Amino acid sequence: MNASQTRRELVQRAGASAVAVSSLGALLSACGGDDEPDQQVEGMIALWSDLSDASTKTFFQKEIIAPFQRENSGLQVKVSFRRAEDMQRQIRLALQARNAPDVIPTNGPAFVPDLAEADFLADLGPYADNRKWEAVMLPWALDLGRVNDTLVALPTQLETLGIYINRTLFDKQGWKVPTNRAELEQIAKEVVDAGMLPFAAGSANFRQQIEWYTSIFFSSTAGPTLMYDVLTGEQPWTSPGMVEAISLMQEYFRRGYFGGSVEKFFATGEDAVNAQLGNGEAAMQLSGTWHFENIDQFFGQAANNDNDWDFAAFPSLSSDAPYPIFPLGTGATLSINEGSKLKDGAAAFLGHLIEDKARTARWLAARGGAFSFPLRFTADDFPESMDPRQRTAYVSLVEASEQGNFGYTNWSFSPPKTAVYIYEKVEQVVTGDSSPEDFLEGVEQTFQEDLDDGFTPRVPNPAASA
Amino acid sequence: MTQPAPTLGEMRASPAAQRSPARVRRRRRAAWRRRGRALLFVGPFLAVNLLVIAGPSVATVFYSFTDWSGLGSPEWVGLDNYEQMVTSPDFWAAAAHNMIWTAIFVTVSIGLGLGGALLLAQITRGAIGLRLVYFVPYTVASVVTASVWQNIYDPTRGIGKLGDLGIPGLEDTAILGTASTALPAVSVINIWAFWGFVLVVCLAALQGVDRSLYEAARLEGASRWQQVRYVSIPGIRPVLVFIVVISVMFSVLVFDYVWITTRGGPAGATEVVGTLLYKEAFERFEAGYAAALGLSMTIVCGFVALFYLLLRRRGWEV
Amino acid sequence: MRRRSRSGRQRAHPLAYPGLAVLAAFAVFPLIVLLFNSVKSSSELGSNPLGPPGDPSFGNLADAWAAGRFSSTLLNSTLLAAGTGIGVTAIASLTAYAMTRMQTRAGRGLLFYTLICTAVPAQLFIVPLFFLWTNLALTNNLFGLIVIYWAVFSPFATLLLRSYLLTIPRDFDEAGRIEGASERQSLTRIILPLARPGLLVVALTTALFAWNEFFFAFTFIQDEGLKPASTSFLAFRSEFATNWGLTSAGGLIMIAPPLLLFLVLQRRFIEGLTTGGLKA
Repeated sequence: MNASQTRRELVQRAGASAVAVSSLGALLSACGGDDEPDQQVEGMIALWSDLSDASTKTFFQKEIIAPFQRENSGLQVKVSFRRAEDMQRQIRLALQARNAPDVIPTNGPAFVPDLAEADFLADLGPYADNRKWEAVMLPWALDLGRVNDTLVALPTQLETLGIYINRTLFDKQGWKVPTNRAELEQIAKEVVDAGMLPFAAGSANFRQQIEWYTSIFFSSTAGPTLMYDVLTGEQPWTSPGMVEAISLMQEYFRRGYFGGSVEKFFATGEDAVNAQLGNGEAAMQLSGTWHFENIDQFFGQAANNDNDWDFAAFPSLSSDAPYPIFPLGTGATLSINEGSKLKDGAAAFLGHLIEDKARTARWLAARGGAFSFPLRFTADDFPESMDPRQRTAYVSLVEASEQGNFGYTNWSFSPPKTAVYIYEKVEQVVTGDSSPEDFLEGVEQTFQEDLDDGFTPRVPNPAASA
Repeated sequence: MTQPAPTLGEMRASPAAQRSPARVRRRRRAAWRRRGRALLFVGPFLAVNLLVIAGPSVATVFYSFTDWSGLGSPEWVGLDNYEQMVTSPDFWAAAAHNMIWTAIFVTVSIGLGLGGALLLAQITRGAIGLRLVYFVPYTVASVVTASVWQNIYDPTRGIGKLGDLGIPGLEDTAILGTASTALPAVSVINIWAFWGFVLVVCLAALQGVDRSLYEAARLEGASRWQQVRYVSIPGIRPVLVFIVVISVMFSVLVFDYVWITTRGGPAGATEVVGTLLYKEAFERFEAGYAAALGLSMTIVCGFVALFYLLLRRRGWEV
Repeated sequence: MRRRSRSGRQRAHPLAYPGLAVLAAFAVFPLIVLLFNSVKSSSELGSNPLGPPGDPSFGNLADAWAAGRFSSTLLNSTLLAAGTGIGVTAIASLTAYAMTRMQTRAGRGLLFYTLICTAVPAQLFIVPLFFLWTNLALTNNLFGLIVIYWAVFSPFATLLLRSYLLTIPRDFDEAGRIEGASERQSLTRIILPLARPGLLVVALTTALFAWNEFFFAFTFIQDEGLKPASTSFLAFRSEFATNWGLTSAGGLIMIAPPLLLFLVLQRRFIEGLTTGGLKA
């Protein structure tokens, strides 16, 4: 036996034991449900968050966590901040290694089924019943947190897409907010003639952003009823209304409505986009209610211009879609780690976030998108000091969800593989490398895969609400 | 004059002495001890390596034959992942991008590095300062490098702005947003970071080439270019081959710069196998398929390494 | 007789200096842009993105230092760099010595294996590794990360050192062996001192890699207080994406220490690369 053979054996043996250790561990963690850890009453609840803005983080600690700790002696909350892009991956790694926090965040309902399937998430049903969460939360939101009839996640954001406009520019030029396709195309033409961009847009900082566009085009063209049928599998993604939506999107991108050209769209970053709207180089900007948090930085004194902004719903692009239409969205969820020793404490913290509607409304008013829990808000819940445009937006959204004139955002209602396929592959439609029909064919196939996996979110029925 | 007494070495080397049984036994034991000592020297390397890389990699190889999602327990699927990979147009598109990247990255980095080293070797004034300047990009963290270059390429804040200011041909340029320019543009970033390292290494090697060889060449009437071709380059061949080998490997594995600047976009124009793997593992949660991709990347690098070793066996002192 | 300069070299090619100047400009201009941008205010950046600052202010640097918590992150990065540099140099020396000096038939196999290791993408083994590390309680722990770096950077360092050792003539070893030196003595008394410049290169390069590394760092280090500069810069950049002046300043702070170290040690470093005691 010579040295090289010895070494090869060593490698093999070490490799084998590594596989054994890892697989054994994987098996162990898969049967995580059996060994229920002893529950503690007091302790430090670990939580991860992807809040990035410094003042928002401070707000979170001072206005949300500190009162909880005061009201629940013995329980403390320790937050670890991650980048949004990394958090999902890190959570999965941590869960697999049984080293995850007590409160599990995800980037949306599409990410939950996987975790639930692997038995990582605790059943929130009993807590929801005892603490009456159904009374305070919007029903469609609570439904999104269910996997196979078990509530395992609490959606924590209420958001929608719309257009921010440079109000000063609109007034000066005598433009009106477009409400349908004809008005939109007319205004785009006038904007271009005046030497400006119809929409400030750029996905360089966040490629996935293009799903805002698919969401809005689907919702505003195909309309609530068709979308509901498609998302529940009753109708295929290749239905005419869907094809029309993507064709329109492709056409408007080709015309340069968004960012000036397709190439510029892919290469422009967020701060340039915001600056363009702020100083009047662009008339409109497609974004979500989360942008309320930031938009003031780009208008008025803070930005050395004399402009003001406004928010409106995206125009309806076909007769199938009513106006106004608000795509429903929830971009994050919270769950409780099945392996946590502080489940009751964690549940108490979740409850703290949502049970006092007025208090949550104040957080929303103060910080915008960061703390917009999907509760049954009414206009009265919001404080007087809240920006009226913001208040109108949220109130309209809640009303829309109750009345049926809503659409669906990709990240909340598309099943996992489909959601990724859409934002990855639609880029090729936009650049002209692929046709809307081919793209939707691919979406349909991927959607079937998701259906086979059994991972489709509960989609709210517009007819039921109306 | 009498014969000098045989030295110990000579005595040991005598044929008779070589064949005695005691001698053979001692040699075998000495060989064993040598191997044992070698193992001792190589021990630390193997220990950390097996623990951190080899062990987990073997586990991943196992996972490449399953449909593991990264969570829970994996189910065996045999060669399905590999079949999927080989029939996937996305994979081949990404592989093609890797090849284009390799062609650009290896040739330009080495061209600049070697060329710069050859030029630098000729001068004395300012040589040390220049050496420093060329190496600095290599010390900058990839995140910062990527940020700066994204700024330079930006249509509104960088080159594009210069277009607004009237420099012709630069208007409406969205370098990272245009499919045809995105991949070369990102490779330029990586080249910028890497070529200084190549230069410094080549320069060091050039300093080790015997001066008298140049003299001899010059006396034979060799031109500058001929000197380079017949003295310099052969003189630094081991180092040059090493650089080519690692550059090719890095090209197969490229991930950081592409991910930070374009994430494989726009519309897949800069997608490489490395970014594809990442997306499969962490966005589509197809950890088994990702493992198969990772393994194929490693195999390709394995072939490159094999080629390098073949060169050695053929006698190239590399 | 052609005229020669004192050092026995030919006169430099007339295009040498211009060519070198162009290369120097290429190497340096992005960093100049970074430097300029780090002292510009946001509004100036809007109108003047690439040119020299009209009214430089150092406020950005101070703000970035505080907001990016660089006092803590730079310390962590230093610990990582030092621990990795020392460890990898030790490991690589032993291994490269064995590969070039000790007669083992497995030498070629080891070389192949080492080459393969430089070719293994991190994504290939990170999932089982994270799992293993959790079981060993080495996550969220600078030492745990350093061990990973030892494993990840040793192959490249070994190959580099091996190239250098190959150019040290065997005569030195022979002389030592005749004097009766053991392997260990041969290594420490003869080879290592001769290879000292090469060792310095390896140590510095590895320390640099560790300073700049971020993929493993952000997977394995969670505590704010333990984060190195590389990961916190990414978060910093996202957080202040709209303030390019501030992020440039942060970037500058992050790259300054290795740069300064390199500037200080560059004579030694370059000596190492250029002389190396390799002349026969």
